[in-house]
Amino acid sequence: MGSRHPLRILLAEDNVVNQKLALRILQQMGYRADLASNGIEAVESVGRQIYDVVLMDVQMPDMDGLDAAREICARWGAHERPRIVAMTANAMQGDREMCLAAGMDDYLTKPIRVERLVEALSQVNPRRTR
Amino acid sequence: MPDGTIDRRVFEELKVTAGADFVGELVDTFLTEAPNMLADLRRALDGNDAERFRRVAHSLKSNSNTFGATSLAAMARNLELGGFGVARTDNTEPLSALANEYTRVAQALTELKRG
Repeated sequence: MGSRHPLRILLAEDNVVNQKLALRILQQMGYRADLASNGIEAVESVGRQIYDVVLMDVQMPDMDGLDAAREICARWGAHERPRIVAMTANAMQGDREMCLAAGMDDYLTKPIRVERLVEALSQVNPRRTR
Repeated sequence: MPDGTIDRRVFEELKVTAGADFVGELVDTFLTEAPNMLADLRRALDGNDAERFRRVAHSLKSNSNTFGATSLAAMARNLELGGFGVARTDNTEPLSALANEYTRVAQALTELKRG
């Protein structure tokens, strides 16, 4: 999938087990990803480099995924920012709505299912410029 | 292995998804990280840091679900949602119960990783 549909991916996730598993699944799909371990790092990375998509954990220390998404959406317009896909282990009612309200574009539950990740990534359009 | 410690179906599915060798490494990572999480929970409780307590409980829940550690995940979830209220008022001392269940999970995962 990585060669057919190349993407620049940022993985924002603080938990080491989740990081490793997500990177592994992405690698099997032919993708590599940069890492951010909290919301602040995620926002900084998006400012520094062009990404097509951010896979954003919701629960992170210092700045959580919701605040990071709000910050990214406030700083950059819809066509100037990466698509933001929430990843959460909550799967509670209203959780999806909360992520979308914070400006995220899609929502995955953890543990990550490969089919859902494929689906989420196929909806990402590679950006040519900021 | 005691029943209910690890949901074998979830664990096998993880192996299919990520590869058996990789899952072995992932188990090692979890066994390195989880004791820190348990210690973190204790520190957060003693230090009255409710936000940290919930976040660490959430992480532990998430990782437990990944490996199919259903009971450990349920206990962690209970602490995440109930926060200090659950951790302090429950007579059974939920952090000890959590640590005991973790010991069972660690043992089971170590066996499964070999098998």
